Amino acid sequence: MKRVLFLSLGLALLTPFAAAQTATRTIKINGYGGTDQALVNDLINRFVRPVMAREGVTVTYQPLQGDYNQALTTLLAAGNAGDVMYLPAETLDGFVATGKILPLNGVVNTSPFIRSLNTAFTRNGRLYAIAKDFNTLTLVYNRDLFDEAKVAYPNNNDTWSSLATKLRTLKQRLGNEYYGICLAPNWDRFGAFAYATGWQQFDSRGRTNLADPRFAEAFTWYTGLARDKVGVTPSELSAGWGGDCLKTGRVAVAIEGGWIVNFLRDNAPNLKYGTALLPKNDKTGKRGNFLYTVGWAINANTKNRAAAVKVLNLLTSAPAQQYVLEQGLAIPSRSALQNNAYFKKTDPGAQNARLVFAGADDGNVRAFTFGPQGPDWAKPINEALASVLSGQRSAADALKKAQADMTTFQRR
Amino acid sequence: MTVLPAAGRAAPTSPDERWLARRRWARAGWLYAFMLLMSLFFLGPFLMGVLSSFKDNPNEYPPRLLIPQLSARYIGAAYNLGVQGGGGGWRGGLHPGRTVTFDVQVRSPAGTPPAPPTVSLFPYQPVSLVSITRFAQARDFAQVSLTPAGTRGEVRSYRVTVRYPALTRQTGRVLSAQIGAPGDRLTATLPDGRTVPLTLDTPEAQAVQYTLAQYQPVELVERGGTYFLRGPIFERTPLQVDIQRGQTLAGGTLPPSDQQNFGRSLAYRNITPGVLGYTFNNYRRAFNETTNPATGRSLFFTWMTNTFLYAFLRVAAAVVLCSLAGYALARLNFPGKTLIFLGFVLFAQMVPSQVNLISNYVLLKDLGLLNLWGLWLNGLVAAGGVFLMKQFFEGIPRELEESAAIDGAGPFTTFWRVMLPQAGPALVALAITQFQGAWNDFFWPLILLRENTNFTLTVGLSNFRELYGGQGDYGLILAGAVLSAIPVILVFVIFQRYFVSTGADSAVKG
Repeated sequence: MKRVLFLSLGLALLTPFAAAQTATRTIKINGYGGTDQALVNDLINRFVRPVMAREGVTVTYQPLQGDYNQALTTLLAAGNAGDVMYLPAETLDGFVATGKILPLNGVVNTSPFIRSLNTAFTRNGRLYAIAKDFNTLTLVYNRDLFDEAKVAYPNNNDTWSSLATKLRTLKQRLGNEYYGICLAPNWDRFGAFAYATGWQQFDSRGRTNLADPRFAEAFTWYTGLARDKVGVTPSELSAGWGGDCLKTGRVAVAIEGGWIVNFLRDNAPNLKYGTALLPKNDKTGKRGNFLYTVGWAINANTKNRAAAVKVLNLLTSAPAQQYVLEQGLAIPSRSALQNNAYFKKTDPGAQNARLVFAGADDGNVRAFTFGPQGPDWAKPINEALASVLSGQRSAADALKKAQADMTTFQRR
Repeated sequence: MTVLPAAGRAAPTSPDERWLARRRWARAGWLYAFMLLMSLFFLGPFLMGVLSSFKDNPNEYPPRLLIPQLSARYIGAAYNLGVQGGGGGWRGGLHPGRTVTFDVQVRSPAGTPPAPPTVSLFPYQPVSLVSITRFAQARDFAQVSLTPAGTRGEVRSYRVTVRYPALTRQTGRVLSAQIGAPGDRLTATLPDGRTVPLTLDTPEAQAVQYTLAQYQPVELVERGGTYFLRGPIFERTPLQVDIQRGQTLAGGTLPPSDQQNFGRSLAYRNITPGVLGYTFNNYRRAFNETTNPATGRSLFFTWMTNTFLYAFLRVAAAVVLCSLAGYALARLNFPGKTLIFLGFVLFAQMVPSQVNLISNYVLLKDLGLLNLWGLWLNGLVAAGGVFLMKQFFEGIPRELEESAAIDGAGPFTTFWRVMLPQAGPALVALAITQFQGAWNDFFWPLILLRENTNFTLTVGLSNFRELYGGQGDYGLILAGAVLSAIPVILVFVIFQRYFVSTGADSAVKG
């Protein structure tokens, strides 16, 4: 009995800490840590706080460090998540299933935003987030290597075969130490090429068909680049990704998005690089691409829905997006910004940004997603790519195994 | 003539003895080889990490063991360049009104064009972890020129001169400051905390007034209470040198940090580094580039103080509570003693802490304690520590307490005056393990701490991985890891003998 008394006394002593929670209306925003924290705080200070303060609403940003999806899942489950939050498109399905994300149809005006971005956040006709910014894949190339080999730079008219020829010639002229292209054994790069053929990630029953000749065509082309060491995987150069590959100065092309610009500026400051759109498939004449996007979503259980909607509108407003673009920090999701002066600059970073923006609306562009079963969906494809790129299997063999693995996975 | 016997031990004569001696030596050899191998296994990665933390490209392959950052010649050169830049040989940097010379040697074989290299300054400021402040770049303020400095055989020498004219011609007391918060007028915060308006007396100074961001370090001249802007202070002076086709780099004041274009495009990320900016560049970055934009204070430094505070609190709590609880369980008689020992001490040790994850998290959240204090409360009483102290007190002879009781001491006086003074070794062992446990704690801080100003080092360091899609800036990660390992290493080196003697043996003497 006494112990119970002591315990409750102890707890009673601690409660004043709990009372420190504010009584005023607060909108809490969840997002990534790192530089996003500084950026969003900057946006909040410039565009959100001045407006919301007039209504007596304080706005705070709470970054979730580390694995964002994991942290957000925990917070949503604990009822502790922010009112407004980042929602990555690739994990949208899992969060939608929890029912804790507010559908925005009729709540927010979606017409100023790029249509494919809205589609990326739509499930069963319901829109769950407004794209904050986005990225697509581009070909980023080392000018010096092409100059030295006297091969024309990759350009926006290249097809799969013409690009392969350029890379092969470059490899032949530069020799053993140099490589044409950095090939990540990963769906998040390869998938763009599969889409170029017109292949669909899921059929009407939600199944993935890797035996589709169109998928096989992309797979054979992508892995065929590794023949004669024209293509190289990052790990063979003790690199982690395409940016690391380019930094070594020994690889001519990497398939990366706008995130490579800051990396190269910091880690390979004297690398002269250019950007081109991904090559077109020879048969369809179209490019494929991924849309990597993160949206702003609203917590369905927010206590201040009107204020949360207002904050979301301010964060995606035209002035806010223009500011972010001109700082060179992200590509805006408003279609009206495509004529912004920033895109006409000639420095390699701005050139990359322009092509990343253009890539969102050129050919078969699909949102980057793993589907309802999560990131494990890509495993069979990644394993197949790795086994062929490292020479352990033939492409046909690997595809057969991947299809079998995929069928097992999707039956789970 | 007599044969003197050999000094010392006589050499083994019989074959058996010789065999035994050989076995002894062989055994010692095996033992030493095994110990060397083990220390290579355990220390090797750490030493490679320390070495890589000095490099410009810690991820280089194959990794070099002899790196310029640790050679006396280049450290001397870095010191000298720092002095020329005006920031001193240790800190480096480029200050207004200074001129820096930097030598480059190019091998130009016969038949190649003898044209000189092209030189330029380029903007360079690594994206920091949390700050998006754009600092002024040396390229926009300083001029660079190239003069030939002689030829020896195939090698031509060139002298690069970087001249940074001051923005004002006023003379007086020169002092460093930081640009203040944006407002109607350009202001600067002096080292003593005062904010003063700046006078821009030249067209050059007026031209740059809108380009300087808050927290930009600047140099001022004070004359009669008026502060004139001499110009921004640059932490780095990045120089790019492009040599002609067919030529190769033969040497220079410092080796280049980046090479592109088949070794013909050379980038020197900083030609006024000073020793700190050259050898300890990544360490300085760990502090400087985590500046919190809201406060202007280094987050890394905050994490370090947080960790020290947390470790100190944990040690203090463990020493007080574990010794009290241990003594009570060892000596006092009260109902439910065995139950408490079995249930609260032994059982608590058997349950993995992950099991309490959700309940503790929810409890602390409801108490509003998702911070350092909650973390402390969560690990307030270490069951292992209570167990250690209980066992220790049980080993102390009862006669001591009995004699104290005869002298009229109550239980607390006995504990405080008689038993606790005996418990030194056990308390030290407890303190060390608690300190080390708190310092290296990752799981609970990761779960409980939400604001990056509350982080401990372990959680903060994991943040260094966040740049560039999780690839991370390895230089920062390694520098941070080495810094965070130092206190634990010091504790181990200084107190290692207490790890061996848990106090059980000294208890017998008591």
